[in-house]
Amino acid sequence: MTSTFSGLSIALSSLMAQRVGIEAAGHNVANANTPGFSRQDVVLEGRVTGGVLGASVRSALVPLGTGVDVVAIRRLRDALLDGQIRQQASGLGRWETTSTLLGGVEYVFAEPVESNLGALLGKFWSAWEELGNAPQNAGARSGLVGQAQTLAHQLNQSYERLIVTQQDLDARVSDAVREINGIAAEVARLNGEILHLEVGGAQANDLRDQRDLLLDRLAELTSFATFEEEHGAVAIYVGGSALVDGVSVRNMEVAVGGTGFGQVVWKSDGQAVSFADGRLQALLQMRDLSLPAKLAQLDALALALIDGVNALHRTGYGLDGTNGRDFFTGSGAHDVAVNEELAANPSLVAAAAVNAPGDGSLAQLMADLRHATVASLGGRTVDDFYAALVTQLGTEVRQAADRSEEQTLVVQHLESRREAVAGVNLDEEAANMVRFQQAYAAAAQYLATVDAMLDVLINRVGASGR
Amino acid sequence: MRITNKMMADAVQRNLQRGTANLARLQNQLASGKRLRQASDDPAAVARALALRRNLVENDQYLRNIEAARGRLAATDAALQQATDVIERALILAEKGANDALGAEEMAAIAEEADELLYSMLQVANGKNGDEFMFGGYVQAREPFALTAGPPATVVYQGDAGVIRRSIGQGIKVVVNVAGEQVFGPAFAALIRLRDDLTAGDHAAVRARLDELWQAGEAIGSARAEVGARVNRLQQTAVQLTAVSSEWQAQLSRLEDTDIAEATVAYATGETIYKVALATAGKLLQTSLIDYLR
Repeated sequence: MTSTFSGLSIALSSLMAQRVGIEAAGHNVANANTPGFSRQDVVLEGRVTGGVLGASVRSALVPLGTGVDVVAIRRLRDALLDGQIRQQASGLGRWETTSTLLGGVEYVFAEPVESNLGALLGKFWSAWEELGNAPQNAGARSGLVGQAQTLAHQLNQSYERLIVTQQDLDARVSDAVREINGIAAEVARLNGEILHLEVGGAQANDLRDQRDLLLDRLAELTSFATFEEEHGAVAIYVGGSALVDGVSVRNMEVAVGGTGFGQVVWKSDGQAVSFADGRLQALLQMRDLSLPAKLAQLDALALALIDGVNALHRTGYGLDGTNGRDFFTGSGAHDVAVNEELAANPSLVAAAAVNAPGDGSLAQLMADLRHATVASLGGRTVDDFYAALVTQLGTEVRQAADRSEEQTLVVQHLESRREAVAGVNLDEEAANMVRFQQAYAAAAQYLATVDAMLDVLINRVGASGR
Repeated sequence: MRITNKMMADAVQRNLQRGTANLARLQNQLASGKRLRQASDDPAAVARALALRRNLVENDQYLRNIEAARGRLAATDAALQQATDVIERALILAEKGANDALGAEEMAAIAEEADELLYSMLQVANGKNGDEFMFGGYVQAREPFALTAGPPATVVYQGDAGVIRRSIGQGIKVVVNVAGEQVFGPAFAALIRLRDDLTAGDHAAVRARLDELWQAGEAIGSARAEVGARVNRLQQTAVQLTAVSSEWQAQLSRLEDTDIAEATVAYATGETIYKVALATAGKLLQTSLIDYLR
């Protein structure tokens, strides 16, 4: 037989449980727009004790329910999905960064437009033609020198801008490392708090949400592996080395290496951090591989031009009857310039193949250089090499943009699926609120009924003898 | 799949964003008139466009060269025509002077005219096209021909044997001058001897000059024919180059330029779609169960 007052405890348990239900719905609604929030629901179980009814009931042991227990407040989240999303987010971080950076590099070359290298090369060759047509014309001479200077200047500029981009990337690498360290510190702190709560048996749902949000941010920066340890702490491994382990953090730092740029290493042992994916990997790749390749190509182009023009120019005669002068000075795109002597005195430019001022045939040969293939440029002409450079860059930009778009779609799709599991639907919560509210009202009604019954027992029984 | 409010809002935002991005791109193409603004817009097309541009620039240069060459050859032709006129007049004088019947006075008069013809020829041979002497080869510092008083008087060639060429195609060059010494040398020699013979009153000698003058005239004539042939060739080349350039320009335009009609239609369609997305978004985001609970 259960106790006289057990009805009250049934009512109490119900009132408390339904209130928890409403509050959970309220919490969900309040956080419907909170980034990273996973909806929570209450897990209710009927409370059963081994109460036995009296002998008046036929079966000896009848389990009788004694109310409802809130067993847990469940966090609806698919950890597997989280892992997939982070993996793809790393890919997205990488391709988005690459796409943006390459777009910037393409802007340096700015084809197909009037005042860029391709057009300037064309004008340079034309200026030699004009000189060949009028070798004693001062205008043609200063025109040629002017065009050559503009071309050299543009080469210098393009090279310079790529260098500046590299340096900018260097700064961004440092920023990214700082961000990673910051996130790691936060995750370690949250690990501590979660451990504290969950060791005692509680559930740190909202803290886990915050931690997951941090991990999402980290994924954009670099790919990593996670392990959930006992009692709720999460360990993060980047490139096989631990970044966060429980409450302890191993920081990364930037060490300036031989190239003058910062390498990312683990602070504790100086080993290089290996990044497989993510924004940081893209930055390092651009800075250390992609840009140096473009710089080398520019240099090769400039050098081929310098060597080809100078070799021919030395055999030609200026108006003063001397030969053997170089037209260009410098060894690459960064320092190519028109010979100062010629710039100061254009009549020294060699347009003649023999020592005769009216001869413009060397200048014509110079103009024909535009069709000369150069071994160091892979058997291409200077103009073709440049065109190939620009086209290849365009293809790279296009590819990065396409990959970036693809990744965006994949991540969006996965995020939709995550949202479907963890997201708050206001209609659903409204319906929940209604049902918990009604159950609460019913429990209150039941309490009143029990109270009325007890009232009879307490206040009315025994009155007949009075 | 369970749908949440956030998913609907996100989807709405994404679709609107896509719509505006599309409209922005089309607007850019229409406003600038260019479909290709960067290599990444269409790398293959840009590669062809770059090659076409280079070729067009080269062709333009050749056309300019041809124009300048034609001008010079035309001036050369005019000068050679004048030289021919001088020779013809000289032949007439020689005919007259060969006549035994003429007396010393008449011979002297003819000799004077012959002298003037010599100076005329000198002027023609030292003719310029713009500021350049046409018949001195590379030399521009002095006149191609100078008359020394003598005796005996001679015309000295002060130029050189330079051949002036112009590029009119890849690896194709055309000569734009004539060898002054070869063309005018015989003429000067003949004219000087004519004058001297007339002055001396030697009828027989003057008769002998006829042949020399005629030969000189031939030399000038064949130089003129040569020039004429070159002018024709230049004309033909110019026509070809212009046609080729036109074709390339058309190709370049097809590659680079926006097809205005196509882009305008795409823009109108994009705009309609965008407006529909906006309208439905508004409706979708407003209703929820809460509106219907008491």
